[in-house]
Amino acid sequence: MNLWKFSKRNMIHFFMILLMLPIVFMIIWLFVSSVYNYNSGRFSWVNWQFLTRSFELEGISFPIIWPIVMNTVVFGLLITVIDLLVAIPAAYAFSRLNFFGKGFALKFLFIMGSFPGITLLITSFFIMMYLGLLNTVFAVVVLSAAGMIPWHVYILKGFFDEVSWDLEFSGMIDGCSRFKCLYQIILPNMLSGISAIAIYAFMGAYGEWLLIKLFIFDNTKLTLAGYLAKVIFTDDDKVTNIGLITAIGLFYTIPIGIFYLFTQSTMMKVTIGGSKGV
Amino acid sequence: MIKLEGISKKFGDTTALENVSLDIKRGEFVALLGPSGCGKSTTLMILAGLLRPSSGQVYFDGKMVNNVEPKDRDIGMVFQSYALYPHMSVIDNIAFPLKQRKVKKKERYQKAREIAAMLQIDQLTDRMPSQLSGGQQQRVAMARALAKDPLFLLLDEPMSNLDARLKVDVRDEIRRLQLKLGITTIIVTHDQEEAMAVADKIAILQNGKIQQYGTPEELFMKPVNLFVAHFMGNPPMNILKCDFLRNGNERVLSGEGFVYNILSTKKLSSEFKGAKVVLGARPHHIQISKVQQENSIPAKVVLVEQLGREKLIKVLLGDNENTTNFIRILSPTDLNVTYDERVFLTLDSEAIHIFDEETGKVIT
Ligand SMILES: Nc1ncnc2c1ncn2[C@@H]1O[C@H](COP(=O)(O)OP(=O)(O)O)[C@@H](O)[C@H]1O
Ligand SMILES: [Mg+2]
Repeated sequence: MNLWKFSKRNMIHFFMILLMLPIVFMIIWLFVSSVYNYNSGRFSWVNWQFLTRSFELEGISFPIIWPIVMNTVVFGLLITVIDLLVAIPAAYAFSRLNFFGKGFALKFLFIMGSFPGITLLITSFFIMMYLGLLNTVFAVVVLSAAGMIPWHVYILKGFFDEVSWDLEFSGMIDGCSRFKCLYQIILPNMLSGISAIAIYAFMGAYGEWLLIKLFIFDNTKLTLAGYLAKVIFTDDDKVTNIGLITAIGLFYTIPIGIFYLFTQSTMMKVTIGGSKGV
Repeated sequence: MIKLEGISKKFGDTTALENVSLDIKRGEFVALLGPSGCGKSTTLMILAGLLRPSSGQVYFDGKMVNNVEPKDRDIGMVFQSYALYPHMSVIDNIAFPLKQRKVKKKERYQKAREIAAMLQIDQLTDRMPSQLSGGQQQRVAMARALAKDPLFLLLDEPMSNLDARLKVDVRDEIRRLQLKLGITTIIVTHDQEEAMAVADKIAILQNGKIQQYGTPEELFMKPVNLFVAHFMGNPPMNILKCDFLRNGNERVLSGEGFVYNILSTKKLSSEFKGAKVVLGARPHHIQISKVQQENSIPAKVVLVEQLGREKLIKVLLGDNENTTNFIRILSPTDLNVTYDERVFLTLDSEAIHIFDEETGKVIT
């Protein structure tokens, strides 16, 4: 019996490790190719020079990475905040209020969410050009948030629907205005939903490269994803500098790993303590 | 003190309440009683201000409050689901209404602790709602509703999620608290026994209309119609369809398997001119005897149930086998009757009720 239990646990571990091996292998491979030159057979840290100084590649200069990291964090937080500030009230309205055209608006939202954003790129470009917003962070933030918000409203509406009316009524009886009910009673009971949306928004911003590549020409305004994209697409006809790409790619991946570990544990906690007992 | 005047409520095409009027005095305990879907919760929500009536007025202390927000109505309410705030501890739940009133932190926790002690939940104040049993959650909900010393208390089926034994304890507790605090209370329930046990007055609703409003005794002894008569009392009143025959001074009820002569002292509504009536007799107002008496009805025993304090006996009316009119009788345990035994029933003429079959209204 004990032996069986023991071997069962070992089996689980065995398969988990087996499944992890390709990922671990890829990371090791990424690292090795960033420090090892296959042609010359020599080790060097030259591909990691972006950590300490700016450099030039095929005639284009790339800044040192740390301001870019800062940009990425600011960009991500900005989009997350805007996303939440728009999506939460909108989802609340869809869940709790009755207004003219609600059914239609909800369908429209669904279509908006499913619409491939790439088809809107050219229009967006011209709009931003006429508004004189090309090469501004503002343009990218607005377009990126606009692309994510419809789905996020949809998902958050579901979380609002889960909070019972009785809870809100209770709040009103106990002396809350509608707004107080929202932030003292309803929102604290859908923290898991809000964190999920915040994480989606931040991750979306973190991975956003197309908009940055199209709308930002100034290399000091790049985010990490945009930086990586610039490096990848720089060598049009030259030999791709794989070593540099893998180095930046690895650097780009590390925060996601840490972020995932961190958010995963908070999200688990929130779900367990969430709306049980309602 | 509380007055509902001609309240109607429509949800789209469905009419939830129709012309409901109700007067509740200070300190009274009133029950809204009726089957599921009759509009009890809707009435309560209108009182709380959570719903707007489609027409009619609500008055508190003579002031019209139709347009007053729930938060300004000074009420405490316990919901059927208890609706405790899951993200707050018990003590924070109880103190929440005081916090909204900007009572100072120290004061409001002290007050919350007092209320918790009164409801015997002072051991639980640090727990989260999800760590409580149903009965404990119910007490916390009560405590929260009472914390701000509201003008009146609204209870929506507060005991429907509790098991039978706990129900009786809790309802006694609620009554005790209500008397102690003297707080005007309105309770919604579909359980007539619960309503009878706690309330000073009962308003019985059906299809969004108040059928009768009065003390439990009035509703039990003098129901105004068939619905009230059948709804009040357990086991329910026996209902027998019959013809109403006038023969000079004699008035006779004749139905399947029985003929009954109404004693001449019994007054009937002079308005009634019809011929079809319904005879209603409560199970404990019927006597069983083994010998035939004047004006008694022959019957055959088909079921005897020992209830402890009394016996529930089910009999088939008539002296032949092919009738289908059953009635239930509650009788003392010392009465010895057995299955298939022939017996004779006598009805207490003063205690029977006669209803117009067409309108359901009482004519006695
Ligand atoms: N929000 C609502 N929308 C539509 N119909 C409703 C709504 N609330 C209640 N009703 C209807 O009104 C009637 C009375 O409901 P309710 O007051 O909840 O009954 P009770 O509490 O007596 O069981 C029911 O027929 C119910 O379906
Ligand atoms: Mg109800």
